[in-house]
Amino acid sequence: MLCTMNFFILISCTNLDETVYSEVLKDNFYQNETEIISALAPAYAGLRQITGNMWEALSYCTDEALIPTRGKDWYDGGVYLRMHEHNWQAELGYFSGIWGYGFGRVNNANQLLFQLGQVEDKMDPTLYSKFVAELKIIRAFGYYNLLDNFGNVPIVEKFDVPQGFLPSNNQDFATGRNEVFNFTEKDLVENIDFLSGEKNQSTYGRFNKYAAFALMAKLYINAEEWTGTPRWDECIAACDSIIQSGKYQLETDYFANFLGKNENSTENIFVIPFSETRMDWALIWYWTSLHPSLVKKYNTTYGPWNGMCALPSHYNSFDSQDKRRNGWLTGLQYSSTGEVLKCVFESQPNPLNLTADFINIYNPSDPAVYDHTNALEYHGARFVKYEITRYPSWCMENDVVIYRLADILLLKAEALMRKSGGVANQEAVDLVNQVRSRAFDDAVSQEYNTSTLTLDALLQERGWELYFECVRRNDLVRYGKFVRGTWEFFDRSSEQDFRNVFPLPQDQINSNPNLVQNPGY
Amino acid sequence: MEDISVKEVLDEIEKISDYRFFYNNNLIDLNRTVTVVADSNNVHEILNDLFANSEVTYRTLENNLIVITPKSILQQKKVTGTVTNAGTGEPLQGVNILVEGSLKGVISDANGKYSIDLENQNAMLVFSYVGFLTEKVTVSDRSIIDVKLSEDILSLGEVVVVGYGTQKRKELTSAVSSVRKDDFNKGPIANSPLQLIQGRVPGLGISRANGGDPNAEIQMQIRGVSTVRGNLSPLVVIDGVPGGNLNTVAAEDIESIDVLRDGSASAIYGTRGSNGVVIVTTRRGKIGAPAVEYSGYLYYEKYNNKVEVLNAEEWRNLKTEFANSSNSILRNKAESMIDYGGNTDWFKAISQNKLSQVHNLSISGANQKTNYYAALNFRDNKGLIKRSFNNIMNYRLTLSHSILDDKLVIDFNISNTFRKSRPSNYGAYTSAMLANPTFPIYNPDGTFHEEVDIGGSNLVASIYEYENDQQRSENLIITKATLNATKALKVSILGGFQRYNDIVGTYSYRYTSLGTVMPGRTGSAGRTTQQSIDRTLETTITYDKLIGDSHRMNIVGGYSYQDFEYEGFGASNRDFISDAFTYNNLNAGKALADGTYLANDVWSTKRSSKLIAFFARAIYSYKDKYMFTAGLRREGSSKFGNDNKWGFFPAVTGGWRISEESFLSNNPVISDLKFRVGYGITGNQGVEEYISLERLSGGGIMLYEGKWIDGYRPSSNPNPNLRWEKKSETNIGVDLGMFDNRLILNLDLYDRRTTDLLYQYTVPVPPNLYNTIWTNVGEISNKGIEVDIHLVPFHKNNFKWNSDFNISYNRNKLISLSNDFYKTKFQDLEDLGAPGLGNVNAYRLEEGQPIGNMYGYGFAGFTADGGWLFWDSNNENKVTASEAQYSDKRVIGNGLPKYWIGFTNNFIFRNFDATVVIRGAFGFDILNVKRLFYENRKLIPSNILKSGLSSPVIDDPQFSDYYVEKGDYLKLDYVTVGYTIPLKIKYISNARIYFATNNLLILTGYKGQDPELEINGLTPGFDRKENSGRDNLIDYPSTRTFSLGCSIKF
Repeated sequence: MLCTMNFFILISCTNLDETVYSEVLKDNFYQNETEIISALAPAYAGLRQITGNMWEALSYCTDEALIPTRGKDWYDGGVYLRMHEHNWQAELGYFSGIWGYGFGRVNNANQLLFQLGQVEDKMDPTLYSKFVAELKIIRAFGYYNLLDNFGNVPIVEKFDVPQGFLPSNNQDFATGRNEVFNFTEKDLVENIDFLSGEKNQSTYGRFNKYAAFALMAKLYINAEEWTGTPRWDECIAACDSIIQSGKYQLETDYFANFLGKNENSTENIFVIPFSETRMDWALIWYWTSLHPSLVKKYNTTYGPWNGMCALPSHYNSFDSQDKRRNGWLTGLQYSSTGEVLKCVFESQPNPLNLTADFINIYNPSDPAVYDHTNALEYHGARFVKYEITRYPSWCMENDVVIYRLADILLLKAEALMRKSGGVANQEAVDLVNQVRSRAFDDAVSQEYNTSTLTLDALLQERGWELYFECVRRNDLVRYGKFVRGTWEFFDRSSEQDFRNVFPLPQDQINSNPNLVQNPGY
Repeated sequence: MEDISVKEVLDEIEKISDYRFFYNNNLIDLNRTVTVVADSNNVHEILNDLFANSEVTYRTLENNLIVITPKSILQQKKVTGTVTNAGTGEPLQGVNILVEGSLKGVISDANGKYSIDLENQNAMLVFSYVGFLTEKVTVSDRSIIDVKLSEDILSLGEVVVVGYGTQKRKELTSAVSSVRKDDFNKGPIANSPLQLIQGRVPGLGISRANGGDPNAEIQMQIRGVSTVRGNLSPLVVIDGVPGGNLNTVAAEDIESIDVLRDGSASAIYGTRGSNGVVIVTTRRGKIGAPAVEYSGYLYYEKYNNKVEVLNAEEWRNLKTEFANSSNSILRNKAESMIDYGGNTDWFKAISQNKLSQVHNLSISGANQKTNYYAALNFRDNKGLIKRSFNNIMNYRLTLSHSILDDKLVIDFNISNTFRKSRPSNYGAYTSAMLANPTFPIYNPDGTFHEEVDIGGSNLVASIYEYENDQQRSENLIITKATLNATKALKVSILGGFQRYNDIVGTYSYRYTSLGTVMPGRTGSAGRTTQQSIDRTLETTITYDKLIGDSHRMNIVGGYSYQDFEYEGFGASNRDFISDAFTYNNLNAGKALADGTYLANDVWSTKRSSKLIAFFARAIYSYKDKYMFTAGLRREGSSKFGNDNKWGFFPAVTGGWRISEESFLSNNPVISDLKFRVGYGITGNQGVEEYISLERLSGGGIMLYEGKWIDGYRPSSNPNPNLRWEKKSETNIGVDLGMFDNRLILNLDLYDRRTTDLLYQYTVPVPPNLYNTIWTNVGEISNKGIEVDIHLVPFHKNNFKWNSDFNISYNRNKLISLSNDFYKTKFQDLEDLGAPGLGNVNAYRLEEGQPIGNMYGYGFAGFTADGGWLFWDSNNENKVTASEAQYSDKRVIGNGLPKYWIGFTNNFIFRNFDATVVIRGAFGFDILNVKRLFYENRKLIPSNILKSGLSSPVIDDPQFSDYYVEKGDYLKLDYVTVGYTIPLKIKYISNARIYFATNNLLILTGYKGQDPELEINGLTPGFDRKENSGRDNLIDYPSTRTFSLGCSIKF
């Protein structure tokens, strides 16, 4: 009787299939090239996350930038202090972020490689091989970052693994790091030829050959530090492939590379594009660094949060004539209509006068110690190297520069010097001077010669040229100056070498028993 | 008199009394000779003897006329009588008198009199009246039946609603609590009808975490936290529709609320029974004259405990003190404390003191065929924050009609709610704590005072410069047909249609106090609309039969189908030329046209799911002495993986009423004693749809050939093996009634174990694409005791005192969060956020530990210059904040109450009545987040708590047990005093006025405002009502209400 009644009301009384409305089932996707290209987008979109945890962690532990505790703000359980003091532990969320960034790229690529393999027949063969090559380079980019930050990580090149599969890293740190290095190198070498050699709109924001060569140069310059075997010639060759292509030239204006509309830079080799109208919370350096009153200087929609600034020693190390220093904002600040801006926190209502040094300018007799644990709201030079446009949303408009020619020139110079025991030849000097000279009106007096260009000088020059471009930690490690670093505000002299790499994040260790923690942690 | 004819007897009676007889000579054998022993003056007795074995009978009419007719002719018979209270002798008005087995019935009048026409003199009349023992009387020859009803002090004959049927309390074999209309909590019911039973049901914790905010939901929890990420609330069944939305029911329209607490009772609801089942039955008409009722109340709400912050004078004093300090940090602080010359109490400035009102008007009635109830309910609730309100109009119509000689009964049950509201500006309340008390609200010219240079926005302005208009309509339409195929067999089909839709409009003005400071924005408007539709179809067959005198069988079987559909749409725009449109002309904004739109400016979405079930249950009882129940439900949910959609939910219970055994049946003390045991398996399917499927969704745009293209990526790590969360529960109970049930004790012990916990597990990356997956892994155990005592200390004519006391204890343990594939030893939760504690988690969910553990440093003191000291992991050394390591953290508290108590007393003295509800929770800790952030002079120039003046802390905030406090509390809540006006007006049958208060008194050692906090979720005891991100502490004050109400029955 029940069934009879039900029969009238329902055709099928046990069907529990789900109907999906606002998403697409996998089996209904990858049907044509447009859809396949759309599926490729997340592999590139994921690259944008580099400006989050990665960039912050890799910058605040160096001699160029920090977030000091300011009044009640920015203590945040001491994370920034721990990075500055090199007093981190595996539980620190930053490491999950860096791991997630690296393996996110690896996984994105693996998933799409698997997916593309299934629809190869629906694609144009040239496009297919180009996509596969790009994905493998993106995977290499992920592994490069993992190699740099953690060293010994699992190598995973498949997406369709059995349920419960847990990857493992090598029991021995050095062997494991070597394996990861070799895998990264192999992906690069095997795929670079399939990439586009064009430098135009079609390759903007994507890995063309030259972007891959830049990644290769980065890998080889660090080979000695990471594997014990120097690869200077390979580094030089990779740099030359870019330099000799003639497709990239230094901009005469250093800041042209960092404009809101920096698409036309002739110098940038690989950028990650951002859009102030298409994104939210993607690129927020303006908010992290600037003082809230500056909203009236730049007329942005949302006011910034007054955090990150330059270390005083970094700012003070610049030659006062060095134009590149203008990427750090200091001095008395005015609104766009010319009124003096004011402090709004503990120093209200004094005028907003940003000082590179952490001193109380409004009360010179103040005996208080100002440092990374206690800074006033106007302390520290603020980051304005990237042009500040109107920013209607919570995202900056500038495309973030990952590789540019200046870096490649300096890398080649470094490789040449290291090859000859740290001594500069004229070729190296010329390469460095090429970069340095555009920063000065009186360039000649600023130039290096073979005796003034030491490795220490080159490291400093890299700091002035490439500050806050997420290369500093990597450079300091390679120059042996990351641990026991002597910059203010903390005594790191008893630091041990194991901190040259970060610990594997504790949440990964917890959820995967096959992972071996890095030595020392 | 011997050997005389019947006629002679009748003549003799006519001679000696006022009785006169009518009869038809031809029909009646009047010449039959009889012997009459007239030892009685009662004519009826003589007549009964006279006609005892004859074919005729008689009927008494008015004026002592007696009609004598053949029995075969007397089909229609009128029975009259008076119903009185057996204890007091007073007439009882409103007693239901029903002819058993039919819908025919009447109701007694104000003098207790009734009159009913019967078709069959073998009929049995059933006299029932709330609070009295039901009497059954066989009519036979009688035409006048006077009945005395005894008060049923604590009713065992009471009918309790269980899933798909009802059971008598004495037959119950599982833990079910039932609260009836007359026993509901009185006073303003602003949030949810469940406030009606707050503190009344053991094991049911109900918490008003957001004080009196009329727009906030209340939280409920049965027998502890038995799930970590599945749905946490009990299943609500409204008039047979599972998954009902309580917003469709006005509190005044509810007849009873029954709570199925244990797994054996709720297993019949299968997948959604894990957190218990709350069954709401709405009111119906009663047989008799139509009743019209009005009830209404006005209420007034005020702050209970305001957060004490510095006032302007204290602020100025502190500034002076700092300025004269030898400490340079304090001298700098003094400079930053700007005195704007005003004197503002920001709490007062953002608050409104308004009367709220509630009105309810109903008509109801019934006759033999038709039963109806219609009501209109209007609530105008005002929030404590300026401009906040909630207007609700609800109407309900319940109609039942029987046809085909009562073989078919059709029910309609329709309710509609229209709600218009403006939510409280929680941010304003938090900001009021921090705002400078010397900052004036208005300039001398009446405009809002602002300090544009230094970002000084104005709180009051922020309330007036933002519109947030919400409208929602909610419907529940139930149609039911019941076929009484035979006396024992009943078939019914129920269709339920539940819907809500809402439309919301928001607008930020062009020059808001925020906007003036941040010039980029000129007006921002948004509209969203949503609709949700649930459809239900349930068919059941019930077979109910008493075999012989001793075997009672009740078998129910059925099929249930439900689908759920949600869809929504929203759009927003910015940069308006004028504020005139607010959100009514989105097209007028420039941002969309300029292309400066954001990804989420236009969106739409839709999702759906289904539940299908087959179920059966058999109840058998032998002489009300031995009871046995077995039930099972096979239910499928569309949300799970293809091979795991169907679950199986069995339950068995047994009961033994020892008091029915001969050795106890006449015991002078024990009137009732029952032992019961039950076991049942229930499920939880409260996760989002589509998790098991491999889906792609939009996300991740890319610059491709110079144009931005939208990316498509996997939506999540899919889990094709996703299945039910399963909870098995054993319940052992004892029901003891003593002294004629003037003392009743119900004791329940339970052991519930949840396995296959639905949880979003952290998984390793790689091999997974994302670092979380929804899957079934862990296990939770909850064990507890519940005691419910009903006591009648006094029961005299003009003074009655009823008392209910319940206490429950729960012990919770997360047994595991791991299996072979997924390993999670612990997970840290609740990022404390800005200022200063971003990335610091306050709670830890850990294997082997109870849920709700607070995890942080152990406070060890202060350094000489006021810095923090914590214990190291060995509790041996004191370390500073920068020396402290993660390993020094430990469990420093638990926010989940272990004991809940409720104590309700009802008093009736002549026309006065009073109710007092005392309730409380014990054995838990609270993290006092306000102290953690605001009891710290480092926060200056933001305002601080008054207690911050004496606090030694002038340092970065640090999370430790320094801020963990005992949360135990006892509340004097729902205190009501009423007076029934002894009216002798023809048109009014009853009138009562009352005065009630809510949250009158809190006894607690907790230093914060109100220890009654969120109880659900994984971070209970966190005294910040909602964590909406790093810069926003969202909060609502604890409030106390006073109300004055009346009810009139016509």
